[in-house]
Amino acid sequence: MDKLIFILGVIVSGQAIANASCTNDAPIRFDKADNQVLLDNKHRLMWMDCVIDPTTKACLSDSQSGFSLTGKQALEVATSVTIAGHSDWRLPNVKELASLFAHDCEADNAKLVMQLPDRLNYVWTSTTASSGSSAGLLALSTASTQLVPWAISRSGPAMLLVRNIDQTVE
Amino acid sequence: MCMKHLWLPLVLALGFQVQALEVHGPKYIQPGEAVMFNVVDSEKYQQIEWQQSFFNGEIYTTGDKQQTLQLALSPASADSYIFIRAFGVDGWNYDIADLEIEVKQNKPQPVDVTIQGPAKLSKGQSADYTIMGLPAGTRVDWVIADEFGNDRGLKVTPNGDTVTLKVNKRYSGSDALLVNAVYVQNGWQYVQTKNVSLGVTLPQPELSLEFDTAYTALISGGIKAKVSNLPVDAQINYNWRVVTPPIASSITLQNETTNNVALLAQNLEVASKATLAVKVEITTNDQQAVLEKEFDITIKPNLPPQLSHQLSTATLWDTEKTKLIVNVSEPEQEMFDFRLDNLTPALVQVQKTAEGEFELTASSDTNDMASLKLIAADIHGNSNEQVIEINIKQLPVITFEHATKRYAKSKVPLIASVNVPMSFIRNITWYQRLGSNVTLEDSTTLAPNFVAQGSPQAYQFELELDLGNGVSISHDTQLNTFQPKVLNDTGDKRLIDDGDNWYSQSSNSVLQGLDAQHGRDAVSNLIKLGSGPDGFDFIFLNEQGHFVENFAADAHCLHDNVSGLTWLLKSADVFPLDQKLPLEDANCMGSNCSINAVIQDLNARGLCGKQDWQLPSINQALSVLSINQTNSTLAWLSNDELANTQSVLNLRTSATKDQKYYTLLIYGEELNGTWKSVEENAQFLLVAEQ
Repeated sequence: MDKLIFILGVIVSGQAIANASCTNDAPIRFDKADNQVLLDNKHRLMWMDCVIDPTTKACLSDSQSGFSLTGKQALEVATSVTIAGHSDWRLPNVKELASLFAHDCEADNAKLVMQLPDRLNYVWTSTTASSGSSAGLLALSTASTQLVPWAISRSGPAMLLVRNIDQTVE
Repeated sequence: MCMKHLWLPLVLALGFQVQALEVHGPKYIQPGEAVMFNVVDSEKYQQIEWQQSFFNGEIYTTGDKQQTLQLALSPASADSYIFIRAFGVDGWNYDIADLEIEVKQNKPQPVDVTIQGPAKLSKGQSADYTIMGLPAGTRVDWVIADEFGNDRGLKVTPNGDTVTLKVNKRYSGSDALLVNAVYVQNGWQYVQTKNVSLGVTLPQPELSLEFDTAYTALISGGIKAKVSNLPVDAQINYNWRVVTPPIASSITLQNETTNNVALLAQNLEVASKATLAVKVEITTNDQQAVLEKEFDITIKPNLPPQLSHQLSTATLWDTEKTKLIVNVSEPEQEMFDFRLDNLTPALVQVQKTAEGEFELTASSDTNDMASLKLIAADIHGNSNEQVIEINIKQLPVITFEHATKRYAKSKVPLIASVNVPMSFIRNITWYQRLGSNVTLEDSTTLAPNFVAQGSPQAYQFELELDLGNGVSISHDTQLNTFQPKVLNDTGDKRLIDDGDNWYSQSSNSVLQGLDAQHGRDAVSNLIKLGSGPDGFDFIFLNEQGHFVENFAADAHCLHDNVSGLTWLLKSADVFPLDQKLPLEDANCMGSNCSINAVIQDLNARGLCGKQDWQLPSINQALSVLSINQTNSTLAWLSNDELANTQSVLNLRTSATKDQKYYTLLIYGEELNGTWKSVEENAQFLLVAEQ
């Protein structure tokens, strides 16, 4: 975490999601740090800059490997894994995850700064949702930003990890 | 002697006697005496021959013509007479002289005579010796030789009773000379002798020259002639002359008739030889000598002053100072003038700091070349020049490349670049000029960083780059930090058990890591500025934007203290929350028949002090929504009118794509997000950011 790699002026044309108040001279939101950590200075969040491999419980090293897992598995991995020197990782809630992919500015586009597989679509949140009569979690489509309920026992979405930067107790 | 005279009878038989031969000699001799006979005018004859009668004694002849006969009579001689005949042979002629010498006893004592003349004589010198005391008319024969009878190298010139003796320089005989005056008195022959010793040979006069150490054109020089071994009364004349002047030059002489000549050569290109000569005439009363020498001297050209300089630095930054030291040496130690011309006064200032020392200050905001000219000239006008060129470089430019807007508490990089290689930079110093004091890491590099303070503020830093030699550049940079925006929590309260079912009292255990277990909602004693459900923190604003009581009748807006956003209260009497409106309605003339019309109206009114009312983005809309069915934020957004509604809301956002807009569907504890066709109307929230 000592050495930060700063992301400057990420301006890439992409999804036509815009907000009138979104300007490119906004404060720098993302900084990359060592150990595949991405800092979200705006929201004081620390993200693992990768999809977590459910088998190795580490960053997915091979983009061809499977990253699909159930919500339950995702919760279990998130609460048990120690990665990048931290053990208080968790699944993001829907607002945290949406802040990465339903970006208002290109400077907020996490896809440009995170090491994500091209074929990544749905990602688990920790926010609950009813999937029919089943208990589930909301999943966010990184492709369309749609929010859909996903049964917790059903695999498909991938897992991203987040923690609060200002967490006082590790 | 017998063999020698064998031809004599033949001569005497064939020849003709012309006249009498005169022979000078004594008439008497006593036993034991030696006498001498000389042929007078022997030079007239080729050869002198002698005959004598038998006697008890010895006889021998000397002289180049045998013109002298010496006769030594034995002491035991009993002879009465001795007869001698001399022949002066001259070709076929001859002269005869007959001599009759009587042998007698008791030779009378000679008269008192002396020979006067120097007792010492040197080689090369001559002297006169005169016999004194003889009766007038007494014939004297001078016989001079060394003690061994050797007369070689002696020149004897008789003149009656005086003889001149000169000892040749190359005389090699004994140092003891005998000057004999032979004379006859009363028939007896006497010899008066004077001993003369050969003195030390006087050395010859010698000429030597004293030269100056060096001869240089245009500078008067001298040559001194010295003559050693001069006779005391010698008269000396000097005469100097130039035999061959230097190539392409000339020499003028002064005092050329003295022993100390002065010379002055015109200038020349290279060192050249000149040939001069001096003639010294030495005259004494009896001698004259001429000494002459021809010699070469080398004349060096008269060089202009020599220039050299030391420049501490030949390449200067703009404003940089350097020291110039100029050395001027005059090869001939003559007076000279020195001048420094600044050929480019706009590029460099020159200030004299001491004799031969100057301080140069570069002054150019572009890369340029400054020139100084050094000029030194001697009194002859010979000059030397040097042009000093100084590279002047414009000062480097510092450029900052870091972002000037950062969030508080984040690690802030400062990134500077300079348009010269880093090897030019001697020292890097950062000064903080504004903002709460922070510690810069890597502050000796161009890319330090610091951790921003928690409170948003402006920071200003000055970067100073030391280029060495007192030159530095600096540049300020300012950046601002902004308050991070913590996300609102979701209001999610639901739990799931390990059987993948909603948690209930029959559940064995609950899954960990769910939304409900984290975030602001899970904080028990959350400090809020205002109030609100779960982790939300709201205050109500009236039409003018002033704070009012929660759910007050005159409340028009709801301000979210966490996100900083201000929301339009969707009360039923003004803006019903469940009202669906199109984004635009060209036919609508009122202010409430389209979303944009509402927005335009709100902005025109400046509702709650805001003039940037707009549809919320996805994240803005999400931020204010809660899925806590029993304590929904919708009750606050509708000013407590929708607290228990079960209606489904499709809340339109500003996000659009492919003729669709993004809506957040919320009903009870469920939340979805999807795209809807722009043809469909939807409910909406309006937000102001400023």
